[in-house]
Amino acid sequence: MATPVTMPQLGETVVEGTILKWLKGEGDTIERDEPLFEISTDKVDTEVPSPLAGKLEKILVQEGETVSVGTELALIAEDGASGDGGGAGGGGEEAPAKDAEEKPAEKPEPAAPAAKEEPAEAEKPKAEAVPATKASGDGGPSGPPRRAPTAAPSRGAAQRGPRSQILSPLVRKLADEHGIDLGQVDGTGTGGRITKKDILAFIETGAAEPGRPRLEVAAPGEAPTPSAARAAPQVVAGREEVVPISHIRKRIAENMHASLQTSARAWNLVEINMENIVRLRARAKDRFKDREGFSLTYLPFLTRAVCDALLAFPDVNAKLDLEAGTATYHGYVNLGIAVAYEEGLIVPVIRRADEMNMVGIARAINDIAARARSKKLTPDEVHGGTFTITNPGPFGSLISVPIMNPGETAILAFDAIEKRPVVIDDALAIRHMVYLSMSWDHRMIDGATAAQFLGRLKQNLETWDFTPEVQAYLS
Amino acid sequence: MMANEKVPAETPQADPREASKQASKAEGKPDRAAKEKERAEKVEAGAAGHGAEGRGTRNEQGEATFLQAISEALWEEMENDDRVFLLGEDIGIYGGAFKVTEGFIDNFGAERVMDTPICEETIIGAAVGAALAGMRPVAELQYADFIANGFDELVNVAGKYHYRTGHSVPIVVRGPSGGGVRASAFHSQNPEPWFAHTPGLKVVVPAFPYDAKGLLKAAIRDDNPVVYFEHKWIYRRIKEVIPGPDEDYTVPIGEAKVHREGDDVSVITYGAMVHKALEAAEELTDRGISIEVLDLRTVHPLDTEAILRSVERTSRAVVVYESYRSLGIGAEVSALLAEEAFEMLDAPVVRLAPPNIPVPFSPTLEDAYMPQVETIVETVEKLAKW
Repeated sequence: MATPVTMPQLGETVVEGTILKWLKGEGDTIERDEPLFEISTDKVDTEVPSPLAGKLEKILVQEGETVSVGTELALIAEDGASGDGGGAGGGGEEAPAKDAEEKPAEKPEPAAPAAKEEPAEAEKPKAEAVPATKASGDGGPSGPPRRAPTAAPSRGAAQRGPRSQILSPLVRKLADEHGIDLGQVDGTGTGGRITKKDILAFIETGAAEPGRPRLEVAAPGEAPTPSAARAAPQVVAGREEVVPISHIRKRIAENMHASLQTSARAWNLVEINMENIVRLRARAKDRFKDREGFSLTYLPFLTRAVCDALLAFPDVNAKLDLEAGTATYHGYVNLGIAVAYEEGLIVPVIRRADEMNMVGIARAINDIAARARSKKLTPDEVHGGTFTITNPGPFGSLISVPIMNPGETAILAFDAIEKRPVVIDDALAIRHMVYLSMSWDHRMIDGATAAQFLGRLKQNLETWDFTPEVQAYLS
Repeated sequence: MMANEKVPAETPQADPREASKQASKAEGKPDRAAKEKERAEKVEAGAAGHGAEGRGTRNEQGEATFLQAISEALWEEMENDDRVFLLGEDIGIYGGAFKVTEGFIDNFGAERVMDTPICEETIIGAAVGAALAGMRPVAELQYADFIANGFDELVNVAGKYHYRTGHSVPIVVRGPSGGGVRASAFHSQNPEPWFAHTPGLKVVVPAFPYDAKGLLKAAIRDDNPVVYFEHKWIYRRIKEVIPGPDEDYTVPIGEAKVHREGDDVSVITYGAMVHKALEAAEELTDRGISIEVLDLRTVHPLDTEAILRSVERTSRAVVVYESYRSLGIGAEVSALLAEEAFEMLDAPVVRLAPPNIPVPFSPTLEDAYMPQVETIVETVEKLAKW
């Protein structure tokens, strides 16, 4: 009996996805929760684990194809154990014995030839379904347990079936009249089709919100920075090569262009003396690495300073809606951190960053960056930001002019810290300096606000004593 | 060929399943199946020639059969209006192949209950002539199938006369139609689509005694030519209490009737299929599906308002009909819904009708050919889940 694996609903507004890569081939055996394929949606690229153990019988959608949510992607023949017939072990079990090796066979072996582990294996396949703790190399042991999105629908999203996209004229009309996002409606018709009753029931429950925006733009806040790990296309000297661009590339392109088209971008730069922070970090970094399992970077220091400045200048942490003639002030900081990875760039969001201390922020940044690179982010983690920091410093960039993430008022670029000769008290000195530059939307704020914001940031970074925050790690 | 027409009145009901279904339907009348069987055997006994049992009279509860209701309408209209007269094959002395006019000749005389030669063109042609001369003739066809022989008089003469000359042609052409009675390809057809397609004719296909009587009276009083098909499967199966001679009533031509209200699927139908749909409705209720049964009663002009009203409520429709599938009434209703109700639809409109082949003689094949209660249930269930 083969069970279909369908395109999962990865986020509330996701309607389709592209198969990037099959991690198993036809005929391969697969464990439950073992990564089965990689997909790319307009929100995120991610690995999808197998919903059940068995043999990958057939791949129905090839790599590179884009299909709607609920489409059958592959068929998995379930393990022999779930079959109803095989009592006397007549079937050819080819299940690997490794499972049995890992666990001592607690059950007394039935009077069977010794060498065979099969009965024990067959008796407890389901209960022991091993969670795939396949941490990707860079894993941070301190981070929260990583939970890859499963093939089951994510919380909040509706049940999807293969016919969920077949919409009758009546359903379209009702959805239109009531401003319903059909992605939220459970379909109870054949194959998950949304029927009149479903939509009327949805309206009844008051779940529909007229005029609800459909697509949250969630792509990165700046042009991608080159990544060493990036797989370059095969280019033959002297020839041209035309290749299709990736899904994520297309999304970045669209979002960046849209941002420039809808904002009035202006730009300011301040230079900051990072000497105190550089020295403090030098004293804390070794024990920090030992205890936390990852390196202490400058980003958490910057983030602390930024959160303070954002609270002091709420205009910078706001969202303008010119059409509605409103500005939305966020009473919290959801901080987007631009992360470069193999396929491009993504901006995971640290929610309520203003409520975290420095170690908390460091852990959150590390966790989210690691999961961004291993494509384990959930779609809800890549939208809802209120302000973004991009960090091209490690690549040696000195000054950046980033593009705002659509829906946000400003983006801050954190470039390379380097020793420069500076004038201090009319004397020349060598100090660790950095240029902090900010692109901002002149529709929402003016130069004075931007400059004052950057001034506050400069003051924080140059005068705050971060020692108590890293006290535990000081050597 | 003419010998064919002398095939018995109602052909037997040999299928035991059919009989038991009938039995289960008859509440508090356990002897119904037995009666049915007895009657079937009687008819079968006379299969080589005429042998239909008498029309009978209303039972003690005052219920009239479909057959009796039609007969009452004719009788009352003849009594009320001297211009009304009947003509057809064996309708006089013999009382009609199905006994609709049994006893008429004794009361009204041979001039008003005219036995004619076996020639449908003449029957309809004579009726048209009499109507033009001021009479209100009611022509009987022994089987509706033979209306094809009088086709030209009906579609080219009767249907167009008023448009061409301004003279009305108040005739009624009536005859037994429909299958399910093991009477094969020449005695089981449903020719209503031919005439629904033709301008100038009204086409009536009732399903209940009350409607049969009221619609026939309305047809006789109508100044337009009306084609009136009476389903022979209903003749003696369906009975109900209807008004008598002292309570004159008519049922307006062109008005459909909701026999059963429902929310999930509209079953739009007419004729004998109404009864199958109502039976299916019971079974569907057990399965949690509520259907609305809309009896068109008149297939031309269609009661488009009633159809749209019903579909507006249910958003799903299946049209069940017994004539050939293609270009039947179902096609017209489906087209109407596509044009006028597109945004009301939550599922495709479905036609449930026999395939485009002649009605088979073999009982097994005929059952497979015609929509049955089970196929209606199945179709509706699928549509409800679509």
